[in-house]
Amino acid sequence: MQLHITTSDGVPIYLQIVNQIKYLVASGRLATGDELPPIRAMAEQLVVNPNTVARAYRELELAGVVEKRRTAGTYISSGGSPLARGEQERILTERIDALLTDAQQMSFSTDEVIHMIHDRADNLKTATDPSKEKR
Amino acid sequence: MTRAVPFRMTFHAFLWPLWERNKLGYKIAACVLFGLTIAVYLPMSDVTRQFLSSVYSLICVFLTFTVVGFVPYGMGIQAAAQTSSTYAKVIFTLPVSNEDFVFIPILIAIGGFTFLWLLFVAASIVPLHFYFPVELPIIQAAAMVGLTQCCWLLSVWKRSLVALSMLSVTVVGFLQFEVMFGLLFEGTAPVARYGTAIPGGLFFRSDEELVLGVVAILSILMAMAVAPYARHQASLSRWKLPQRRRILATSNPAPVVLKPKLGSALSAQTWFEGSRRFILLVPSATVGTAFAFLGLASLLESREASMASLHYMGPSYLLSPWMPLPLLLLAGLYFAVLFGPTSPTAASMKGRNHFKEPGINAFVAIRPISSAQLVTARLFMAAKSSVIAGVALAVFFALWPIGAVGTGGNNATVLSHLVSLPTIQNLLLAAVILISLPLLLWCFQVGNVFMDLFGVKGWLIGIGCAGPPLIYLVLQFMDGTLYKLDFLRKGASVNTGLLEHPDVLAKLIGELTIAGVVLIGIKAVLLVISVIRIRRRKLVEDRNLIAYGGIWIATATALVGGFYALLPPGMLSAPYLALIVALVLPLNRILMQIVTVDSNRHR
Amino acid sequence: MTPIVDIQNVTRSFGSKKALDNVTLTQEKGTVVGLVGENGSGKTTLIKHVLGLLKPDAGTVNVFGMNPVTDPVPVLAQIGYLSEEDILPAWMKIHELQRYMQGFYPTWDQEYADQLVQEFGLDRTAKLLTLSKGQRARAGLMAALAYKPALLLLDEPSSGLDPIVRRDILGAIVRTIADEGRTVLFSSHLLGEVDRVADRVAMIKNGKIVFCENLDDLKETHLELTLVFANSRPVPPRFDRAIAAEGSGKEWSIVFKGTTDEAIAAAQAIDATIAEHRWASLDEIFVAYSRPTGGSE
Repeated sequence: MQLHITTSDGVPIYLQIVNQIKYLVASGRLATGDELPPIRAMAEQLVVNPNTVARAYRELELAGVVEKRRTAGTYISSGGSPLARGEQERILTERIDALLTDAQQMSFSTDEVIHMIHDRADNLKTATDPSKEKR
Repeated sequence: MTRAVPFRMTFHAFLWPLWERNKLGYKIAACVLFGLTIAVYLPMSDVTRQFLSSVYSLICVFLTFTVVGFVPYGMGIQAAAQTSSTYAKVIFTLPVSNEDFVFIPILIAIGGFTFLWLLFVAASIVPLHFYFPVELPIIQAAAMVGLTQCCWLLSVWKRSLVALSMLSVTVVGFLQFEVMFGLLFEGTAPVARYGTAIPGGLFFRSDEELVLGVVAILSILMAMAVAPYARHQASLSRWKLPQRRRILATSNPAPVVLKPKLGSALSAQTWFEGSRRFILLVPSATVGTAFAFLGLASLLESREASMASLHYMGPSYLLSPWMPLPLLLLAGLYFAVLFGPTSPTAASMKGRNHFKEPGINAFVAIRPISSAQLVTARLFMAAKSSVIAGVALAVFFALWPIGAVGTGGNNATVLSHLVSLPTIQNLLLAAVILISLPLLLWCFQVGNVFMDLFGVKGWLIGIGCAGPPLIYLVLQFMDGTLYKLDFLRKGASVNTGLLEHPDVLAKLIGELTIAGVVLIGIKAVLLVISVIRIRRRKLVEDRNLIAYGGIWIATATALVGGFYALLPPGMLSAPYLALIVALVLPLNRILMQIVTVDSNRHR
Repeated sequence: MTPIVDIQNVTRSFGSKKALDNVTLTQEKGTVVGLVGENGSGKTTLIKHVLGLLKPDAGTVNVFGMNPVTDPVPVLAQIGYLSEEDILPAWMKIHELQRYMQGFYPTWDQEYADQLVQEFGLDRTAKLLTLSKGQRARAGLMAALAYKPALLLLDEPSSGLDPIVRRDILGAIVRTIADEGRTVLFSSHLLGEVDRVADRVAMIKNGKIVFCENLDDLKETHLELTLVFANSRPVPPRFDRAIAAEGSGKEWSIVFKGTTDEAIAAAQAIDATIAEHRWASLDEIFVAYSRPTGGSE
C-alpha cells in the first residue's frame, strides 16, 4: 500500500493519510478485512511522526472506515462499504465543482459542458471497443 | 622564469593571514621590545646600565633561541596532532609555484627574526662587547624554520613520517640549549673552529653553526622535494576520494574482535587522552634528545671526549660533577611544557577565540563526565607518558655504549659507568634522580596547561604570580651585584663567577629564597580561591579535596625526606628542599585546571 | 509531569548582541519539537543552553528536572547530540569511537550499534578523516543513537548532506520517537522535514520566540489567500490578522491567521474578493512571520 505525503501545500499530514486511505477504500484497492500496517511501521515507511499516523488512524476509526481489533491490529471495517459510495460521490462532486467553476470562468454554458461530456464518453467507448468505427 | 603572479602579491598573500590573526600580539611585543631598547639608554648609573644591558642581552639571546623554537614549533605540533589551522588550509589553495610555496614562509619567518635580532644586537650586545657570534641565531632560525616547514609538508604528504621528522626538530631545538647553557655556566660560546670558507661557498665558524647550517639547507631542499606531493595530497583530501575504503566496507565480514570494554567514563576518557601519538610525544622527545646528545656525540668523539660531555654542564659545586642528567631533565621539561597543552582534551577545551563567540569542541564537553574527572584523565595520561619516558631513558642508559664504537676495548655503557662509581650514596642519588625525572616530567606536563586554557586571563594570572617575585629580585640586584660576576665576558661563567664571589652566591641564595617564599604565599592565596570556587560550584566532593591535599602533603614530605637523606650532607638544607618541592609539585595548578575546564564547558 | 526540557525566560547576550531574549520553551516527554528560524536567529544558542554548554544571563534551564550546568553528568548521560559542525575527532576509527562512547553510557547497546554500522555502510576500521561528510554524519548518528538516549538533540543535522543521509536522519528521529518515552528536539532549515516529523514547531526570530504551537493546529489556523482588488494598489494591503502580503497591482497573496469566514469578512472590509484560499504550508507560514507586513489598515 503506497501513500504519498507532500509538504508543499498546507494540508496536514494526518489528513493526507486519512484522505488517501479513504480513497483507496473507495476505489477498491483496499478491501474489507485488509490490515493496515502498524503505526510504527507506517511511520517508518512514510518517514513521518508516529503520533501523526496515530491521529490518522483515530480519525479513520471515528469515521468508521477502520476498526481496531484488540492486540490484533487495525483492519478495514465492513462499515466501509456504504461509506465507500458516499466517499466516491464526494470525490466526483468535487471534480464536477471544479469543472463547472472552470467552465464558468471561460464562459462556457452548462449545456455546452454537458454536450462535451457526452462527446468524450462516446470517444471513451470507441477507444475501449475497437470494433466500432470512428465517426 | 616569468611569473604568473608578481612576487609582491604572492608574498603579501602569505604574510597577511599571519599578520591578521596575531595583530594584537605583534603590537604588544613590539611595544615591549622598543621599550626595553629605549630603557637601556635612559639616564642611570653606569653600573646599573651595564647590569641592565647585560641582563637584556641575555634575555635577547634566550628569547631568540626559545621563541624562535616556539613559533615554528606550533606548526610542528599541529602536524603531529593532525589538526590544521586555517592558515595552513588557506596557503594550500594559493595559486603559487612550488618554490614560492616553500620559500616565502621561510623568508617571512627568517626575515622578521633577523630584523629583530639585529635590532637587539645593535642596542645591547655591541655596546657591551658581549662575546657571542651574531650569525648563530640567524642560522639557527633558518634551521628551525626549514625543519618545521619540512616536517609539516611531510606530515601532509604521509602521516607516518611525522614522528621521524619531529625527532629531528627536537634535536635542533636542543642545540639551542647547549649554546645557552654553555654560555652561562661554562663561559663558552660556540667554539669558532673554521676560520675559512668550506667548499661550496658555505661559511660557518663553529660546530654548532655547521650542524645547523647543514640542517637548514638539507631541510629546505627536502621541503622543496616534498612540496609537490604534499600539495597534491592536500588537494586530494579536499575532494575526499577514499575509494579504497568503500570497497573494503562492502566486503567487511563479521564484527572485528573487540578490545576490552572501557568500563567507566574515567577510563574511556583516559584512553582518549592517551590515544596513540599523544602519549608518546614526551618520551620520544626526551629519548630523542638523549640519543642526539649522548648517543650521536659518543659515536663521533673519542671516549675521553664522551666522558667529558657526560660531565657537561653540572653546576659543579651543587651536584656531583658527573651528572649528565640535568641536561636531559631540561630537555624533558622543555618538551613537557610544550606538549602539555596538545593533549586531545586540552586542545578541545580551548576556546578558539576568546573575544568572539567561543568555539569549544563539543565532542568532549558533552560527555557525561565531571570536569574533575576530565582533568584526572589527563593526569593519568601524563603519568603514563612520564613513566614511559623514564623507562625508555633507563633502558637507553643501560644499553648505549659510551665512546666511539670500534675504537676497541672497553665499551662501557652509561649505566655501567654510573654503577662503577665509588660511593653508594652517589649511586643512590643517581637512582633518585632517575626516578624523579618522570615525576618532574609529569609535574611540568600537568602544571602549565591552565594558562593556555584561560586565554588572556591565564597570562594575567601567570604574570600576577611570577611578577612580584621577579620584580623583587630585579630590584634587589639593581645595584649591579651580579655584574661583579663578569659572567658575560669572554671565558667567564656563572659557575666560576659564583665560586670566586661567595658573597654574591650567598646573596643570590638569600634573595631567591625570599622570592620563593613570596611566590609560595601567592600560590597559597590562589589555592584558597580555587578551593572556594570548587566548593561553590560543587566540582569536587569535600572528602576528595581533603584526600588530594593529604596526598600532596604526603608526597612532598616523602620527596623532601628522601632527597635530604640521600644528598651529600650540607648541599641543600631541608628548608630549601621543602621550598623547591612546594614550588614544583602542582596542587593549585591542578585545581585551577578543574575550574577552568568547568568554565570552558559552561560558558 | 515534569517536562523533559524546561526553558523559562532565558536571556543570553554575546557582547552587545542579544542572542536570546526572554525565551520560554517547554517540551513534554515523547514529543518532537522542531525549532525553525533564520540563520543567526538563536537556534544553536538555545540548543547549547539545553546541553549546558552555555549559561543563561537570566532565566532558568532545566533538563530532566536538573540544571545541565551545575549537574552535567546525569543530564548528559541521557542526551544524544548531533551537530551540524564536524565535532568528531578526525583521527578516531569507527570501532574506537564505539569503544570510547561505550565507556560513558551504561545503556550502550553494542548489537544495535553494529546493526547501525552495517545499515549505514560504514567501515569499522576506517578513520573518520577518510570518510565523506555524509558518512561522518552517519557515524555521528550511530554514536548518538546506540545508547538510546531519552532526549535526542539535533542541531541542523541535515545541513549540507545529500538526500539519502537526510532520510537516514529523519528515519532515526521517527524510530526514536516510536520508542516509548523518548523525546526529540531538533532545529532545521528544511521545513519539509520539520513538517513530516514534528509534533510542535517553535519559531525563533532575533532571539525571540515568535510562535510555539502544535504543527497541525498551526497549519489549520493559517490560510493562504489570493485577494483580488478592483483597482490596482501600489502598497501591500494591511489588515488585522494578515501576517504578510506579497504581490502587485490587483492581485495579492496574503498569509492570514484565522478561519475562512473571518478571512471573507476581512476581505470584504477592504473591498477585495477572495479568488483562492487554502491552508498555508509551513514554508509560507515561516516566510510570512520572518518578513511580516501585517497590521491594520
